[in-house]
Amino acid sequence: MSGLRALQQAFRDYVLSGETAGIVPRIADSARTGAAQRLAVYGEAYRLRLLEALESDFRVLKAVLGDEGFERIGRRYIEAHPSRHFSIRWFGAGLADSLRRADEAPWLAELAAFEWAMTEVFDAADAAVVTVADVAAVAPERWPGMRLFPHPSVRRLDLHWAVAQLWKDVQDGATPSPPARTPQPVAWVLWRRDLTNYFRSLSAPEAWALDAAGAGSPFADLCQGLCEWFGEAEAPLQAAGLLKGWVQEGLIGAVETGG
Amino acid sequence: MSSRLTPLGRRPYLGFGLGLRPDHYEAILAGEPHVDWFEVLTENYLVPGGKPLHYLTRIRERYPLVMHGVSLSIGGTDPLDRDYLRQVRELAARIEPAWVSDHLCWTGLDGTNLHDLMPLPYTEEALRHVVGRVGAVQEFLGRRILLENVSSYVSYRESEMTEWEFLAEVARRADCLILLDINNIYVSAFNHDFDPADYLAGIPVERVWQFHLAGHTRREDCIIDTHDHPVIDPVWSLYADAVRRFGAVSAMIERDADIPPLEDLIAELDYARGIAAAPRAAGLAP
Repeated sequence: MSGLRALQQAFRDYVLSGETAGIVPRIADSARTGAAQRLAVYGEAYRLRLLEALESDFRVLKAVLGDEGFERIGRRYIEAHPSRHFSIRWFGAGLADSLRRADEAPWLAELAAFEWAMTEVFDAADAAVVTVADVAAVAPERWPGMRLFPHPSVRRLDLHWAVAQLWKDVQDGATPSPPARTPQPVAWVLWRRDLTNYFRSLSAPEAWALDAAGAGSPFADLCQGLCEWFGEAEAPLQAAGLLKGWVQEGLIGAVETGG
Repeated sequence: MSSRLTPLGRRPYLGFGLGLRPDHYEAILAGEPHVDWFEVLTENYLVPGGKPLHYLTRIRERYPLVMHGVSLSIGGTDPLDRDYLRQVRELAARIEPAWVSDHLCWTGLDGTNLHDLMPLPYTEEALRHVVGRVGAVQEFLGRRILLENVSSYVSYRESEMTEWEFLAEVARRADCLILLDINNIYVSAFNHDFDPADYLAGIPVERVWQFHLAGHTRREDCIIDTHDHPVIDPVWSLYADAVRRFGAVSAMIERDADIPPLEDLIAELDYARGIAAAPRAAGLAP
């Protein structure tokens, strides 16, 4: 192995785990300070930089936990999950999962998942949205086979705790307090329109239909599936109503009519 | 490796720029401030879409841009990240920057990114390694890149040459360009007890296409390159020395923390303009 690679391994080991044995003998003397102090500049900067990245993506989590509480979970995550991406933008991608597996209040993981989804909505791919006129132009006989694809910024979450309300409260400057558990899990959709992030809750049938549309189900299948909640005569009207709402809100990025 | 590059011509000159920061997007678009160009942090725009790319496109319509990356790891010993390079190339095709730069350092190992500018040992082995990789990157991007000197807090026993000898030799052998960070020279000179004048004197004039200016944090035992303060007088003085040696080089101020209103940075930039004008007015530089 080359000297350069061995040096980098020793330095990397020091930064990640504080192991000094490999790197200290390779550091030149300085009149002013010892090698350990100078190496510590790198060790500290590594953790602080990653902590800052987490703070900017999980502002509400930090507001709820306080500086110390957030630093505790942040540092634990940093030690367990070295960054694998060239951009620090993606460092926090695993925080919600790691909180879910940890012995923490279960709503912390949901709040982290919500905030992470907001970051994904923020810089998801750009795409035009389908308009009411686009859908109106689809010939009636093509409606059964018509497929509606959500805009690339659309994210779906099912939450057991009122973390979306908590997020809103913190944005509005309220003192954060732990969220209430909802009697039933609530479906949420998050999306971006004109560079602004939006989110709202969904009824059970709407959540099912939006997920089915995203999976490629044609309109006829949406109508069929909605019969679980509505009568056979009413289901197509419900489906058409949902579709119109989605289009007006900018949730739909493409319509395909199969030719 | 760099046979496809056109001969090194006259250095382009963009004037006085600032690092583009999201805090200033609206002020820039609303006021069209007196800034000649902006440097963008490449990785911030390697995202699928949304606000970052929206503002980048609108600001590009009004100003020249240069791209400045932190993830190339030109001195790293993992294979070059082709996916990253492809994305850099695509962004460059989209915004047509005046040039593309990164740092003379390594940033990670075995796929782990330390997100820091880690210092290299200044050895013949490291030199050959870096030169080979610069050639491959320039071939891939189809253009010369600028490499920046970093601030460092340790140096290695195995180094065989000074940092400026290493940087100059990389530039000559790899046929690449130099982004000279004046503050980093000051910081490293303090941390490693060398004379910044020796550094400037050792850098080939024709290879330097850009200057960085920034503030830092002084501790008792060392200086940390934090980009969270205004530029200090000794760095301005070193900048004046650099202008006398290198002539008209595009210069900019980097600010990454405690970011002040745009007007404050423009005032600081005007100060740089004044310093650069003085030696030229006195006939000391081209």
